[in-house]
This record gives sequence, C-alpha cells and structure tokens, in this order.
Amino acid sequence: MESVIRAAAIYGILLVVFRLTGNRSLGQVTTFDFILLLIISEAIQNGMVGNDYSVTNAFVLVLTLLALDSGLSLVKSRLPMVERWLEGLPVVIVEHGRPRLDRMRAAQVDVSDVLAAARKLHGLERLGQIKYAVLERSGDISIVPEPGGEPSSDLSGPTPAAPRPDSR
Amino acid sequence: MAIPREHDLEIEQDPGFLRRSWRVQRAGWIGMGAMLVLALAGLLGSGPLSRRDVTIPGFLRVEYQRFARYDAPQTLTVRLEPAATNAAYVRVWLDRRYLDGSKVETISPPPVRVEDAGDRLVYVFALARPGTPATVVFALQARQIGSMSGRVGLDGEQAFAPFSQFVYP
Repeated sequence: MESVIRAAAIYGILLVVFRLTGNRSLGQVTTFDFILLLIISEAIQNGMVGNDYSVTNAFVLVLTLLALDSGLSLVKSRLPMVERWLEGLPVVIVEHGRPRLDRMRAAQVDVSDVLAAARKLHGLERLGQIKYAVLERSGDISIVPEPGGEPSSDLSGPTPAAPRPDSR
Repeated sequence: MAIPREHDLEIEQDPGFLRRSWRVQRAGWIGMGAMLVLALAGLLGSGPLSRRDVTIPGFLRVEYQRFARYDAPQTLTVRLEPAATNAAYVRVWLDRRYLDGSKVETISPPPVRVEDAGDRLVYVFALARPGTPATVVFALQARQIGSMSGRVGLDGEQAFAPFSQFVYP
C-alpha cells in the first residue's frame, strides 16, 4: 500500500512542479539540464523507494507510475480542459518577423532562442525571414519560414534590423 | 470542431487561457519560493524554527525538533541538572506511546538498564560524577506521520516535560 501512495505522491508533485516552472524548464536540453535531470531523479528515488529494496516494491512502483500516466492521458483525451491545464497551449511568439515580446517574456523565451531555432531548423539568418515562430507545448520552438525570404514591407512595418527590437 | 485562430496558422489559440495560465505560473513560482524559505527556516524539518526545548525547572531540559520527517534521523537531547544527578544512577523515563511511534537508533551514553513501567520506559544511566550536569542524547527516527506527543520525566518525580512534534511524510 505504501509504495503505491509514495509513487502517486511523487508523480503528483513532479507534475505540478514541472508544470509551474514552465514549459521551457527542461525543453531545451543543455548538458547542464541533463545533469540536473539526473540529480533530480536521484533525489526523488529515495523518497519513492524508501527502505524497501525488494523486487516487489520496484514492480509495484513501476506499475503505479505507468497506470497513473496512462490514466492521465485517458483523462486528457476525454477532457480537453484538463489537457490544456496540464500541458498548456502552443504560443505564437513571432508573427511575420515581429516578435511578440509580451508573450515571450511570459513564456521565458528571448529573441536569441527564436533565432537559434530558426538557424537550426531552416538555416534562416534574420528575424525577418521568419513567418511564424511557435513555442510548442513540448517546450521547443518551431519555425515557419517566410515564403519569399523577407516579408513584404506592408506586412512587416519597420523591418527589425537590430537583433533585439524593443518595440512591440 | 473549428479551432479558433487569429491568422492562417492552424493552431489552437486562446489568449485568455494563456494569460490565466501564466498568472497561475507566477503564483506557483512565488509559492515555491515561499516553500524554500520555509524549508530554510525549519518549518519543513530541521532549522531554527524547529528547535524547541521544554524544562522541568531545576531538574532537566529537553531539546527536541518541533518538525520532524518520517524515517529521518532526529535527536532528543535531555540535559540533566545537578539536582537530578546527585545519585550514582539517574532514571529518565520516556512515555511508551511516543516510543511506539519512533525507532530508537542509539542512546548516548548507553543506559545500563531499561525498565518497563507500564505506560513508560525507564532508562537507567550510570553517572561517573554525581552532582554535575549530564547530557543524554536519544537518536530517533519517527515511524509515523502526523502529530506526535511525548513526555520525558525523572523516575520518582511528579513533574514531567511534555512536548509535541509534527512529522512530515
């Protein structure tokens, strides 16, 4: 009984904490994030396993975690509201070369993250070549390139020449 | 089902929801920061806010942890004053109900004898220098979750030192 409660408690705590710290927290895995993930799993392990190192306990823990996870995904597929709250929504952070700075600030992304994603995914050089940048629910940024390269002038307004425009 | 959108990108957008979720997120950061501060202060285990003591005036003082954690080491320190140590042996008792909820890891100095006295256990310690202050440390582990209360006293004295703890899971 105790193992099931322990596993459920850990699952719930992690779900809440990682959701609250935001999508970006571990979406972009740098070496340090990877180490952090390992340390977190190490820190969690003792709380979950306790003093019981038996195979039965391990089996019950794994079973509990998997059951919770598939139960939750069932709930998520039935109730879209739950899914929204647990996973968030994708956020459009660049529209036609113009960064939506208010959203970026709230989601803790900056222009350099967007440019990095644009370089990596499409080999783009400037913000102006991006039609849409979307911060996905998984925490990474997807890029839709502007079809003709630079946007036409009537759409873009002032072309963002500076790498970090501070106007909206 | 039509997905509400604000441009030709077919994506589920809900600015109101985003604002709400960011607000919750900010509240969450504040909450987690507060938890950290409380943990540092000792409200979640050991720390300055958790250190408490209770005395039987003239005889002894018990230092204990107000907030303990399940299965984690904690100490209960009994400081005996000269009035309590004037014989070759000192007899300190702990109430049975409290001990049922904890595991006694070590007692230092080790008692020469432990006696069952119904609702209490009497620990008998030999004293090298009677009439001087002495200290007994019980290293314990809480084996139950929630509030626990216990009593410490000297065998033969009416007064006792009551204390209570909260054990976090």
